[in-house]
Amino acid sequence: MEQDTISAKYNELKEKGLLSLYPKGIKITVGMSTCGIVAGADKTYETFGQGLSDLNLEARLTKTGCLGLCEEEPLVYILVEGKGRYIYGRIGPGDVYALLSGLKNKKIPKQNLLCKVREDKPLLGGAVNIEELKQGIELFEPPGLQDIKALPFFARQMKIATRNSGLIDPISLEEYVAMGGYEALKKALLMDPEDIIETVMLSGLRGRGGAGFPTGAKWHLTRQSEGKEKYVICNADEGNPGAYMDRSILEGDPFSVLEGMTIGGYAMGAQKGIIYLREEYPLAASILNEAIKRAMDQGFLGEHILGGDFSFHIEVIKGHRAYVCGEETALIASIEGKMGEPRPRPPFPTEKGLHGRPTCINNVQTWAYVPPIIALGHEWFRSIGTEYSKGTKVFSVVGDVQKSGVVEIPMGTPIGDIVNGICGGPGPWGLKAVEMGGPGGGFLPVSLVNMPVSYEGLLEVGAALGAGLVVLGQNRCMVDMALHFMEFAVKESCGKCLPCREGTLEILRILRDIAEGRGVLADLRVLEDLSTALKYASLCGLGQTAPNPIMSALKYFKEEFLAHISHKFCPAGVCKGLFRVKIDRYNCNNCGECMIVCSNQAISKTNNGYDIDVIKCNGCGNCIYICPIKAIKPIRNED
Amino acid sequence: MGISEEIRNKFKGLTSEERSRPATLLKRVQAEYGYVPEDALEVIAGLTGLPLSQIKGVATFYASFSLRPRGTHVIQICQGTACHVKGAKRLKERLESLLNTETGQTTEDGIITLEEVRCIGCCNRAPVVVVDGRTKGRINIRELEPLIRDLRD
Repeated sequence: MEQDTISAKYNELKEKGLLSLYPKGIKITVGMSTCGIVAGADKTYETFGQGLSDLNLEARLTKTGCLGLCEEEPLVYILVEGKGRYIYGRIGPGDVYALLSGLKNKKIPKQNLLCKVREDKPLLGGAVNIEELKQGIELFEPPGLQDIKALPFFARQMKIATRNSGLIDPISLEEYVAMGGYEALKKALLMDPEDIIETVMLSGLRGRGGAGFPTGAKWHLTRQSEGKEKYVICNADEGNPGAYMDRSILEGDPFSVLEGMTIGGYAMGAQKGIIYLREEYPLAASILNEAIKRAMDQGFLGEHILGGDFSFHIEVIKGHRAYVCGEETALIASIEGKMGEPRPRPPFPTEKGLHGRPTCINNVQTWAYVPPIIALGHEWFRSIGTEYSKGTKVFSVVGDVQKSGVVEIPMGTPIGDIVNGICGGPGPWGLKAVEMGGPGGGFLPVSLVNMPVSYEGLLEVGAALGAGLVVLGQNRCMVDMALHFMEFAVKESCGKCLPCREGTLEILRILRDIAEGRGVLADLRVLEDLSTALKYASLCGLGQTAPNPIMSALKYFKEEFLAHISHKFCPAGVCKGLFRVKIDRYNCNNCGECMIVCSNQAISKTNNGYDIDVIKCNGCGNCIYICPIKAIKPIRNED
Repeated sequence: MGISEEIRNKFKGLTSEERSRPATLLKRVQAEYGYVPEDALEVIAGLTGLPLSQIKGVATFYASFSLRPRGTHVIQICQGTACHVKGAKRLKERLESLLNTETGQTTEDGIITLEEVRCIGCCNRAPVVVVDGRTKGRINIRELEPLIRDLRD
């Protein structure tokens, strides 16, 4: 295809995209990622459809992905021509009619209104000032509306990998192009493949899966490897429990990953791309497949991309629920339909990967960074972040935090800023620790929580970058958390190598002893020895990093382990049998929740409030957990 | 018609690439029957030309596949980190005692199977349970009893 023809094609798509992004009149968009749907967004969407026809109101109804503000789901965006985009939170089916009648009466309803967007600034395109966009329709707007940029949740974020999520219709290729999408591919196809790899190398991009291998170097190795057939793979087996940022990107902006992979395929000389997606993400699978189909229809994928010589296909292959398949050699075995057992490296997949051919495996986020890096250049990307960690990082932030969600921040941002500044802090119990890196990561105690996000810094304190952030309040027990991760490792260990298979079991047995009051001081020493053995003798990353959470908990929260061992007391009131409960009558508000959740009917109502029968109490702790005002406290058995 | 024959008929006309992936074939059987019957393993071994041990290895390696029939309804309780922090273990124990069964088992009447999943990526709605494929977020321990009652009705 001639460059002129290509430009014309892009312009046509762009025009269509802008028209559907900023249509005339009113556009109502519902956030329909998995987190939105679980919060009830599908019913909200349905009700909007019904309401528009019932009230005879003219408006376009569309879907979008995840904006990141998952706490406020279901999110609804109302774009009013010439006025702005209004973002509403927690819109259930019951709120829909009030919203629509407000609009019908020429008013912007105030109920549940979070903020207003006056201007969209697409990273890869020009700014769009919604207020001045067109003639506009007259609607009354409540005074003093906060701009989205003033909301603490968004003010400190920098969106690169999540640039389009929550803004465009995920499966609209036109809207993706209107936001500057596929410009990078157009540019890349005119570049020498070596130059593309050089750009990625110079950008300083490192693998966002956690290991932090320089992406450009991996691409270089794959390109250098001999063989006509090569593969690029997107590792979308986001198995780390407590993390979902990859899902958010796949469901919110699938084309960015497809474009990144296509550029990678061209640069490395691969003909086929595979997205290895975990089975637990059915919505991401259908969105990706639809996006692939549309990209093929428009010539951005398939034979002779943009009319040139390069052909590239992408297939989505679903996993079958095995955490170890996030490890690259196990992932390859799984794609080949075998048991997902890792094999020793070298040879590395870049040399001998899928079907014995050179294979480059990158994480979802890593692929999503590729188009902006090619479009805006390596210097732009390098200018963001710290010395050894460039660009931004996407995290899901969950657990004991006021505003859980998906955030993207420049590398170097203090973790405390994410937890307290962006996500509103840990809530009533106060902060105890932040868990980073999943089953292979560790815990950051309050004293370290202000350290900046970077590969090098986190490695030093025993945490990792790959997974999300799980915030732990003071009411969480670190022995129990260590136990949780070891249970996970035992269940997910593939069983191929002995250190991991038997070592994780033994560590679990000791941790159970401690959590159930049978621990002895010598156990701590054995835990350390076993952890070291696992670290050095296991075959793959799962076993090598499985002891990390335990080591980290022991390092920063040793006194809690000691309390369990020496005093048979769980200070957080989590480990069954290692505490008694006491109701603080002075603070109790007599709500009665504790009586309902008691697993052994040990709580009864008396004239003076609620009473616990110490003989019947089995120490399950349900009452501590449910009490809304922290009036039930754990005390030592002998106190 | 026996199960073996039924499955063999369903797999007629597979491409050679499809035949080379036993896990994909297992997934199709599971989608059809809700579990992987013993007979299916032999049929798949025959189709792929792989030893039965290897097929059984794949079927038992992945958490996706169940070699036992499941109940009419399946409750999956998420045990991911965010759910764990939000009390998923308590929910699991409560479900086990309400159903009088252990996780991974089906109730005596064959109606409800209780399973655990590692993480389904809905962490901001923790704790979550998946009931017959539909995810329910922010589950309160008190909601479990009515939930089971509804399933049994």
